[in-house]
Amino acid sequence: MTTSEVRAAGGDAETEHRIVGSRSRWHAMKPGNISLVYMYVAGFILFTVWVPHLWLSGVAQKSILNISFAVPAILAVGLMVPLLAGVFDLSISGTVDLSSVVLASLMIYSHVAAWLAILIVLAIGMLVGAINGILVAVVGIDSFIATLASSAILEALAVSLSGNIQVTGFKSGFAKFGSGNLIGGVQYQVLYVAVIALVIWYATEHTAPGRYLQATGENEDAARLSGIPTKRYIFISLMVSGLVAAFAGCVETAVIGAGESNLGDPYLLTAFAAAFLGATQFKQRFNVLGTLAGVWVLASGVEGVTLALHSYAWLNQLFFGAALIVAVGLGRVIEINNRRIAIRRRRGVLDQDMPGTVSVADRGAAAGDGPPPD
Amino acid sequence: MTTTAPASEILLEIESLSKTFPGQVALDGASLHVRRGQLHALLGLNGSGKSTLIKVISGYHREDEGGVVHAFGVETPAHQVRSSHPGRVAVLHQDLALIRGMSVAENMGLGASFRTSRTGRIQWGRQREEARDACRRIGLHVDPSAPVGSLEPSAQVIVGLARAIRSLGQIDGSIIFADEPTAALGSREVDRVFGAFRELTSAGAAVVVVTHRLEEVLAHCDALTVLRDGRTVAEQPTAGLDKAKLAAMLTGRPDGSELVTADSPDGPVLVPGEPAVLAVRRLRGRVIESLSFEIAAGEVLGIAGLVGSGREELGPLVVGALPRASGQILVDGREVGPSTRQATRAGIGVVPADRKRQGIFASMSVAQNMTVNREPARLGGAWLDSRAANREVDSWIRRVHLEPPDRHRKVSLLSGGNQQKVVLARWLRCSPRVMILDDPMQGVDVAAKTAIYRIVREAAAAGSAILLISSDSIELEEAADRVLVLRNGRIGAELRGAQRTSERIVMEVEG
Ligand SMILES: Nc1ncnc2c1ncn2[C@@H]1O[C@H](COP(=O)(O)OP(=O)(O)OP(=O)(O)O)[C@@H](O)[C@H]1O
Ligand SMILES: [Mg+2]
Repeated sequence: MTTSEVRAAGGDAETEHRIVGSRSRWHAMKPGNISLVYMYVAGFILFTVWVPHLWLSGVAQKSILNISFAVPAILAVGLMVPLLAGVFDLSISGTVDLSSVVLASLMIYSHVAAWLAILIVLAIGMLVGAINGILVAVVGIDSFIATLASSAILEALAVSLSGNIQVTGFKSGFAKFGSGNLIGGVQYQVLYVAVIALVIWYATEHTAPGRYLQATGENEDAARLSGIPTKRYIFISLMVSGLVAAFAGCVETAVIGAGESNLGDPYLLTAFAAAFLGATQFKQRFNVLGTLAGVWVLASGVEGVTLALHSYAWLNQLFFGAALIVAVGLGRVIEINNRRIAIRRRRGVLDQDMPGTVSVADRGAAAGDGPPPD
Repeated sequence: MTTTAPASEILLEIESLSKTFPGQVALDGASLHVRRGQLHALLGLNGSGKSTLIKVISGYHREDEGGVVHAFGVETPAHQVRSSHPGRVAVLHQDLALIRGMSVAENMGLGASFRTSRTGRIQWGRQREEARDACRRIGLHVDPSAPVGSLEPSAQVIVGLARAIRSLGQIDGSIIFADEPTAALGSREVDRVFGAFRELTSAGAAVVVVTHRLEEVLAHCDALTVLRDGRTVAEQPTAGLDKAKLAAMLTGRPDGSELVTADSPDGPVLVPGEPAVLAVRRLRGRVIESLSFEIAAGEVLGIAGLVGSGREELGPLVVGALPRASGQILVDGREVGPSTRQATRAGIGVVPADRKRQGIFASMSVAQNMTVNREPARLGGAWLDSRAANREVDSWIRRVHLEPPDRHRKVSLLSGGNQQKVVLARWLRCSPRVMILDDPMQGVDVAAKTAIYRIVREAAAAGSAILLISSDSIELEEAADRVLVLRNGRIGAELRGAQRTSERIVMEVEG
């Protein structure tokens, strides 16, 4: 599977509308493009009726934001960058594992200052990304295989380094780095999401390198022939995801107050599910806003179901799988329906002003009479 | 159903067929009448609805209500023509729908059916045998276990055709549609494909073929139907027509002659002492053996050659998409490294031969496709889609006659010829120092072709060097100042001035 196939599954050939010259920003808000919003609203109403006291409490909503949303969102937004360039990064969970253990060891055993330890871990994350980048862009190993393998190696490193036990004993202040109160119960980790998402959003949507990244993912051959250094973009994208994953590892380590060698495992599915859900929203490709919406809806859903039914170990997995199918499927259904409506409407217009219509044919003829092209 | 029918029996009768996509009328009351034994050309400018018509008939799109279609004497909804007359309609789509990595025999099986034993095992021996026979019957001798991707382009077309024919129950009285089968073929190969069509029509089939090369219509076809903006504007026999009249019918302008007559300027020559804009020295690749040539500022150098002569290899070699074995490439006297990045940095722009795989970013917009090669420094700030950039895109949309003229449209929704125009505009826009045009007019209609060659001329006049590699000898005659004919990886002939007629080019190409 390639990421562009996934993208094609989300988008559809016949749903573009013709508005020559300008197109409203709200174009992205066509119903087919915001099925996640519908899902969220439906879920919100469901839980409001089902468990109103639990669901509508500030505690529940803040717990979604701080605990279930923040760290997965950081990871998912970072993961989106290589996905946009057309490569997978399965090593993010291994990177989280390793960075958690390294951070804890440095701070607790070697008494390294927090800021320095974090910088070292971030450097390790970039190094991991660079190694992935060499394997994928230079050696030419398929990204799926290369990062699957490096993830296993990273996990092994983390386990051996920690001796497979929790590394605990942080100074009490360090927890603030993750779960300190920013404002009104919203924790610092949420701020990190906002900053990272904003930077990646700007870079991928509004700068030329972002466009090149997207072109690389779309059609690497064509991108190379357009003068884009595609290997470099793939390399950089993997470094970004490595860096961001290492940072997520630091945050989560601070939040739970321990270095753990299996910290990242549950996040892999969440990050991928959110990025792929997001790719069906707003734009027909991976995008930051869609990814964030994806994490939010998944996080809320899990929280809601847990509140209503208690926590079961299998609940997360079941919920993620089901949500993925429902949201993507719903998008398709709405889209197909829209297309029918558009065709019907169009035909109605044609019938009404049949005799005097300025049709496509007349416009063509008029253009032919005009001045010749320069 | 009758199989013995008079020669003039109408097999397919389409009246007022319409197809509306959201926001886009592709067919607007088109008609088409196809007779038994007829080689019928379906013509029209880019975006006029030819492919859409074929896709409706083959059941890929569903038509709007209101049209009337009689197929083989029975009234049939348009999109059911193929399904309700099984074995009587075959379609050869534009991209052939062949799987390049699989063998001829496997592709045959995928399109029609596999020979299997009672246990469901594929009988490869028989499968290969049948594949070989099916190709031989229309004039292609091919190893059925060769991967399709390894065959020459014309052989691929014939394999596609053979597969289409195999899906027919009988040849007599059936219809074969072919959407631009010759767009990337040289003249000898074109003859081969039309030879195969002719055999089918002599056996009582009808062939409907889409092409933008008017000389093919005049040389091979019996009748034609012209679509303009989704409507049929002409249906008549080809007898008595010439290229100018055809061009006029296609465009709807009173006079088509300015679209088909070439001016034959005497090209610029190298100024002694000054370096050539592009110099290729002793270039070697897989087929190409020690090739050297130079292009002066303002010159359009044409490259002709059969498949396997090194023609297809030259463009990718110069731009670094294929590794060079040895040799030098110099732009303005400065040596260019072997990678694509170095080539594009040195000012070499390329319109690649394979639009789908190397040209377009299918799900990106027209504007994004056109500006993707632009260096950040020229974008005017980091924020994209500035008003200035949009204005520039719009002006190029007009200059290459893009239809519809919508910069937001996803490129995958454009017709084939219009996709090609987007790729052309990407590089024309930058007027690079060296421009490699590798079969650049595949599927581009006559009107746009003329306009685009005018732009290429302007770029040359401004000092660019143009390398025009083409399978189409007429295109070379009309657009190139000088033509190099490749044979076995070397220069077989150099034609300039009055020598470079298409007849002479064809002669030299075939050695
Ligand atoms: N799936 C689609 N969705 C929306 N518009 C479409 C779609 N397919 C085709 N069109 C539009 O319908 C019109 C006719 O397209 P079509 O592909 O039939 O042209 P064509 O005559 O085959 O042109 P060409 O010579 O370039 O191949 C074009 O304007 C095209 O943009
Ligand atoms: Mg077409």
